[in-house]
Amino acid sequence: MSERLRESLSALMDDEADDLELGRILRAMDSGEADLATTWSRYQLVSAVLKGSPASVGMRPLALDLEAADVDSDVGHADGVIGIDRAPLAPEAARGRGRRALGSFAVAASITAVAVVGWQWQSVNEGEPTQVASGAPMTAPEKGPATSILPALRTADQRGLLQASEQGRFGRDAVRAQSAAAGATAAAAEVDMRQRVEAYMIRHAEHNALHSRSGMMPFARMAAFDGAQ
Amino acid sequence: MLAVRPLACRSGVMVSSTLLLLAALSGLARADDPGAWLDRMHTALAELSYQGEFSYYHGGELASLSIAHAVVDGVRHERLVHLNGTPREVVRHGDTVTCVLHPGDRLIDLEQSVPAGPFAQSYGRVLDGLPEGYQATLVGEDRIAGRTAVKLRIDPESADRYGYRLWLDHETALLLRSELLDTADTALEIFQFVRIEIGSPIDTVMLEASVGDHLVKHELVKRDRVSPDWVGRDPRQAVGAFASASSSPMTGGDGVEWEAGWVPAGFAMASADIRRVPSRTDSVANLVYSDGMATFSVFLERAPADLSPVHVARHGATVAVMRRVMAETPEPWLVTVVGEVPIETAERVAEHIRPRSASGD
Repeated sequence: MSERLRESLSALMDDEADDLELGRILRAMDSGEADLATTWSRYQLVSAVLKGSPASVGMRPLALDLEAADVDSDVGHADGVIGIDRAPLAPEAARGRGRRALGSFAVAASITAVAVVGWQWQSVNEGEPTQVASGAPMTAPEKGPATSILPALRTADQRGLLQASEQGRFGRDAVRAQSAAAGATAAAAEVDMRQRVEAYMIRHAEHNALHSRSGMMPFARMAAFDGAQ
Repeated sequence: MLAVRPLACRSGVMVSSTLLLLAALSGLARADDPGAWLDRMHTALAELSYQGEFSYYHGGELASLSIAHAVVDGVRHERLVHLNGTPREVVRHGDTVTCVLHPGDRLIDLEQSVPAGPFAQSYGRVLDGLPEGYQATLVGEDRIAGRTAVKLRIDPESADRYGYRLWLDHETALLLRSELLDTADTALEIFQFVRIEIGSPIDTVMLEASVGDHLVKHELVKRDRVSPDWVGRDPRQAVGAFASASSSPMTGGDGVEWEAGWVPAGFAMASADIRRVPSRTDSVANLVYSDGMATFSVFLERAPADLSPVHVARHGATVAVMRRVMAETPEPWLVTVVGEVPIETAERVAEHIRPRSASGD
């Protein structure tokens, strides 16, 4: 990935991307630029850490920000390249400007495969309690994959970034529908993933406790696993 | 003390005050040296008898625990009891650590969701004083749990690891309070004694695990099975060697070689282990890296189907990054990096763990 593209992503992150930069990002998406999604997600993580902001933990999919930035549809947004353009939900909407929203959210859906399990963020000094931070339940099948993206949508809403446009609403519905279609297996996988992460955290604490010169202090870390339900 | 010798010549004052200082500090070698304080802290934690209660703040939660520690016939005994919420205790006798849990404890399920097994003996570098990559300063005195404490600040030289504030008992150098600080100086984790007795005899009952038929006990044992050859070498080679070992019959012979393309400067592999999943033939590779202050663990296993490519979790100061690796392996693998390091660091480590053949960017 080029340095210039990184800078553009960074600008978008800070809501400071101009038309040229937006165009650059869109073209990169169209050409299937490697690492675009992962770089974007990493920027968000970095930003979340720097701000200590739970709101940014529910990752903003790249496409949402593009949407919010009111991307002009003629910036070279080729058909089909982005991915799940062929959503069966509303074929008529896949024409004209509708395609942009659908395309964007389709990308969003693929990017939010980068899910955040963050159920325990440093949220104490934030004014607003957010479900994003304190762990939206991943156990309910109907909430399974959707938890990955809906908090992000909420976040966008809170910030007034998401336009309440026809495209916006449609896109959101599309995401919901796709999420539902993904079914319970994905939800089960999320639960499995989360359990694994927690279990490895405990293993890490145990190993540390056994080996560190600080004795068993790391075991104190296991105390906090009560609240993770 | 200088006032009583108003007529002394200048050099005389210097000599006598130096002597006085030396006499006063004979028991506290290099009292102004933060590195020496850290050495004493490690010794105190391992060798002193102490018991008390401490608070532990972690990920927005506040826990209370009691601890008793003593060395009996040269063997270290230690017991940690969670005083709030689900009853849990951890007991150490020498190198054996037992977790005592009550039925229904969520930890029991979690313990079974990833492979368990003995822990490889750590060959972590025995560090003297302050590890590389940190600056330490003494920043004055404070009072913790009714005792006079010396306050130390340990700042990382780069943003890829966290800093610390430590309060050590002025008399014994035992750790009385510690804070783990993120790059914005926010405490992610605070440990603090609220009451402590140091040096008084400890009733052995205090050091024994609770008994009861319904209790679930699981034992962690150190195991001397890591090849010293792997430790202290270039981390990339270390992973390679380790991965080679995982292609032994333990994995059915189709092991994939892995390499760590990047670890933060100063971090070296402290231990490596392979654990077998009881119900399957798979094994989990586990590597632990340390810079002497912070540690992170890397877990490698075959990925179950349907997992998302990247997951990130955080629990107080502990972050976990789970990443699915597809490249050039017949089936997906799962790389998990867990540690008390900034999330960008864990992300970057995870991102650079890859099959050996896919290297070379």
